[in-house]
Amino acid sequence: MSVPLDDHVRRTTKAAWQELDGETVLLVSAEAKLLGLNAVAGRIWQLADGTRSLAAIAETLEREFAGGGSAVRDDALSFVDRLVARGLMERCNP
Amino acid sequence: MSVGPQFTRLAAYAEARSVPLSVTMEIALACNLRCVHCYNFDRELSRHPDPERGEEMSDAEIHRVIDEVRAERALFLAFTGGEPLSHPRVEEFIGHAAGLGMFVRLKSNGTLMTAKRVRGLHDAGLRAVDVSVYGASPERHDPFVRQPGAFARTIVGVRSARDAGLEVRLSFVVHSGNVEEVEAMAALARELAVPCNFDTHVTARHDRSRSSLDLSLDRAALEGLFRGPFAAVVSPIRGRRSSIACPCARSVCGIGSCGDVYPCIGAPLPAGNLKTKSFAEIWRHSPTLQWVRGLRAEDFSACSVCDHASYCRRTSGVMLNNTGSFTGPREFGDDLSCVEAEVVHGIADESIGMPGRAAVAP
Repeated sequence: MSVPLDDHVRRTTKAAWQELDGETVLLVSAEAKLLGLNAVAGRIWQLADGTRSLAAIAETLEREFAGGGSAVRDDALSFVDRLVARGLMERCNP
Repeated sequence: MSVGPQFTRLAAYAEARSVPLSVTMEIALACNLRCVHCYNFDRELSRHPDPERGEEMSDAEIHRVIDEVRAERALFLAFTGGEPLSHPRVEEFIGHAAGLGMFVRLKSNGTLMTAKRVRGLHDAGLRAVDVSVYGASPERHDPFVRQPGAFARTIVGVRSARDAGLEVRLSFVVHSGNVEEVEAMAALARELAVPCNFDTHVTARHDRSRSSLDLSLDRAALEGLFRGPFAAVVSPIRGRRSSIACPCARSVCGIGSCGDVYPCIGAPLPAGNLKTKSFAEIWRHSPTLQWVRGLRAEDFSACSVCDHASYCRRTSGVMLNNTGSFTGPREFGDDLSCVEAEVVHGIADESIGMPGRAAVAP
């Protein structure tokens, strides 16, 4: 099920993370995986601190990655859905 | 947890740029056990014997330091002690660190890990725990930690942590009093379905007392281990000769309970104190840490010319505690690590048909 655009999302503690030289690295211990996120995915991860709705995150991405067109927004929504499904992000109240 | 080559690349990145990727922090020296070999201080005493020792960090200072190590890009944070679960606010510290995005681990004796406590720790964001065990039975373990019933509580703790979804690893210190139980200890880990690691290096204590070294293995015991249960690890360590230095002060850092910053938690070489300076200031500018970072293979005068270097598992922490020199030993044979390397090298040579070298000094 897709996360509604009005919902706020935040990172859970199931993944540790760090930004190193502009690249966000996720450590998903339960899956024994270390993931390097691309620029858009890394920005979504940073913005998902619970203070913004999914719509606000998508708008920020559209503004910051203007060259990507609507694909950026679609990719972002899909990415968040996948992280929520894996328990790495969660919906939350503002 | 093993994430293979990806982690190796991350560690290499951190070492090259002096990013404190992995920080170990003592949150208090208090402990509910009194292990005979404890490296903190001689637990025969009621308290740390150094009268000059400062106050331990307050809760507020620990929270500030958590923020500061994260700001310097720490990814892994281990809380240790003493027994970290003896600290009444440890759940808060874990929640704070995990909330900032760090992978939080405890180094614990496991006796306080009841099922209920472990669920709370997990919910706070704890992801892993290393549990120290000193034998495969209460008859061996309990006298060593000087508390009847400790073994049973530790094993309950291990099961609880494992069942709660924490990554659990048993840490066995192998010493003269339990060396014949190594296979039983490995079997215990298999029975508990958790990985384990063995450490053959007992060290002198941070209070500079040395009676813990009475527990050190001798050459015969090392021969028995590396011809027996440790035979699988008799192999050269790739690149060891050109990289004798540890990741100390490069990607690893230790913080003592009084706020002293060390190159690693096993190497109590004070580089500055967090009560008067920020972590960033100490980490970036401390002459001590810069000296450690600048060490080259040739600065380890005995090791750099040692015939057994490729088989040596020395750490600078062990050397500092046991020989008084971070770059020690000053001469081959000053520490048991030398003997171990010589033994392992000799066995490795035998396996490829070279003459034994157990009695040959480099």
